[in-house]
Amino acid sequence: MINQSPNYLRRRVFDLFMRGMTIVATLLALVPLFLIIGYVFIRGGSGLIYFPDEYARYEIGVEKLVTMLSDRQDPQYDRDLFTQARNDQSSLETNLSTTRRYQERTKAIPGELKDLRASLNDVSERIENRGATPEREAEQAQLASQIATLENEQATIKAELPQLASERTTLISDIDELARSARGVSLDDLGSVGLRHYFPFFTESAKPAPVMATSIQQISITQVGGVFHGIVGTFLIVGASLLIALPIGILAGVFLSEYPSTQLSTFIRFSTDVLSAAPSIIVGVTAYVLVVQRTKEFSGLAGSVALSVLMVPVITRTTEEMLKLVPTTVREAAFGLGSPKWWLTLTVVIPAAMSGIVTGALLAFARAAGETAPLLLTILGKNQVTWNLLEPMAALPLITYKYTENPSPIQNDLAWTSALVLTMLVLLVNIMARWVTRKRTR
Amino acid sequence: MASQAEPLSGLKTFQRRIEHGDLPFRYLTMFFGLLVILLVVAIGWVVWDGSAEARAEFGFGFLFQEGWNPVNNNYGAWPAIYGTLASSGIALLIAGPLGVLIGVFLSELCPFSLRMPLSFLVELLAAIPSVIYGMWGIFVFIPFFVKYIAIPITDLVGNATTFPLSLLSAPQTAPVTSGRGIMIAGIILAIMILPTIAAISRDVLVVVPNHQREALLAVGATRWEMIWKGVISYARAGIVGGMMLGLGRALGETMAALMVIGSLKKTVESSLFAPGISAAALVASELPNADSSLHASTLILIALVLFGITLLLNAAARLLVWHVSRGPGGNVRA
Repeated sequence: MINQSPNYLRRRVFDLFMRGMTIVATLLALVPLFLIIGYVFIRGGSGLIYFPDEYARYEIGVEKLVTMLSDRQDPQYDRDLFTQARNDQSSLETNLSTTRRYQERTKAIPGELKDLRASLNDVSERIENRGATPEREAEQAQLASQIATLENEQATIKAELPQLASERTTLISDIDELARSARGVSLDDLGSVGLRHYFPFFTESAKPAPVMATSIQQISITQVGGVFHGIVGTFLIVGASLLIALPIGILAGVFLSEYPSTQLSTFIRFSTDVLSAAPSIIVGVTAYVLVVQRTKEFSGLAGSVALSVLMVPVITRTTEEMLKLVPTTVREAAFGLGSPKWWLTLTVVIPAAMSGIVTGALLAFARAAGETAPLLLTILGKNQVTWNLLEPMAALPLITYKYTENPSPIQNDLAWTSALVLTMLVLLVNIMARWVTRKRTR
Repeated sequence: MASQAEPLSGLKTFQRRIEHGDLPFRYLTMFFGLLVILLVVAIGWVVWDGSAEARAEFGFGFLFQEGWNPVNNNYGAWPAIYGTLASSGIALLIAGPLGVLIGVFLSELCPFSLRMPLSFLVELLAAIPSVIYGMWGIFVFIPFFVKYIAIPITDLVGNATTFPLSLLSAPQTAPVTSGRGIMIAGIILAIMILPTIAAISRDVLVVVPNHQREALLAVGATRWEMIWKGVISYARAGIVGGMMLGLGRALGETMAALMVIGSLKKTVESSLFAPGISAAALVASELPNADSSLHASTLILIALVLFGITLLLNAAARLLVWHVSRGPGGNVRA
């Protein structure tokens, strides 16, 4: 404070402002991260949740119709439709809530009846054994009347449930009719997507999209399908490329770390840099020209070749760095015991750095699993499960891309859910890798 | 035992090393190292050889002509080149300053306990597959962007034709509400290259020697003046290198650009809100079903140009980052 410069305040404010800006920038970078992961988990996850209440989709469909009609800019035309839809919606809501209540009662009544009958038996036994008193008889009569009421209710519910069901069918077909007469509302928009591919998603492959479903009820599990073919394809293709890339990457890494640095090793390092910086589409073009154009067929193997080129630099650099972390004393000890260099490298140095090398392989796996552009040029995509690497195949990122571009909202929902599978795979592997390396470098 | 005492001739040493297995192992690892070089050579050779037909036909002049129409044998790649440069430029303009600020925060200002988790989160952004960026852009970001950014700006600017304003004018070929365009591609690419720039900035700022900071603080500088004059200016070559690496990533990015850029392949529109096409997206969308060998060859030529540009950018950037990060204790994972 002794030597304050004349514009001290201005400098101080500017300092605080810029420091604040760095915080703002960091937060700004985290916003898209959380938005993307959040959307993928919520929208993708909703496709995996099984709604046990099959009526939920009717409600969602009708609700969508009503909001759509009230949002539109054509009130003159839509007003009557809107009123009708509103009415239908409220009747459907009462219908559904009554149905649900009745269903709960149907489940609960047998238990209550059993309890009542048990206590009735109890009272009757006591009357038999110890003689009737007025109180006991009153209790008996009360219990009997309660049982009668319950049985009555049961009968009513049994009679009314079918009625409610038929009323519901009428209402739903009314709403379908409404939706059809509402200009420009396709039933596909209303079709309660994202509700039913809960389990078949992982076991079924693609189904042709219902471009224009004829009624809300008709969209069912069988028409939605899943991405099992994509999961199989991704693991096969990336697994095969790992088989190609691992020996190249690890042995090149051994060469870079275990042998003295020469011009050749500088050149190899430069090449790994070039490979890791080369746009993945270029690698895809190379695999397309070398494999697809030669064999005249799109195949999973061509995809594996492309992905393995993308994996090699990651594996090489991680292996090199991890081997360099192994202390020289370990090597000297093995030399002292008379081991040749290749033997100690394979049995001492590489095992010592194993967790790091595995991490590198996992990171390469994650990077390759998310790549789409090279696959677009090499594996083409397919709608069935294929175990043959020599045929066109499907893969998760490719499915995500194709279903995103598809106009059908059902397919879009599948895109979100396959994106969820892909993101979980990539994030898990990354977090795992980070955890392993943190333990090592400490 | 006696043979050990005798001096070995060169040939004998060689034989012994062969018997030990050391030499074969060395050559084996060297072979795989050479294979890595071979991969680069193969990529270069394939794109050079594959584009021979197109190079003989047009030379490189077609890169600056408009009118892409493979059906009529009309190839002009200027829309693709322009789209690539414009979207990457926007991305760099947004992500460059942000990335440097993040790097400053992570290396200079952040509490130590937050440093690891924050760096990890920022780098996680780089791990998300690009197709998911594209999908998120289509379903989530474009509706938001159209409603709150594109429509207000185009309403404000109208149909201006003077240069800087025309970039923000209403597009002619597609309604602004379609959302897909060069601007949105630039913004999505900015999110994608942000972690690259931030991580490299952080790495080159961390290795700036402490006497730089101490000297400026001793003459009474504020924290920001210390950072700006002492740290950033010292590491500026490395920061520029990081930005170039980010730019390289943006230029080569395929899927996110393909999904959100629109695909207007014939002409170039002056407005940035109008759809366009990027070079990588053009190759990815047309090569699998190319009509003729000339068509395929032209697409490979575009890939060659892209490869050349990213190669040069990356070589220059790595040189810069490497040059800077040789500071004391520098261990840069660039």
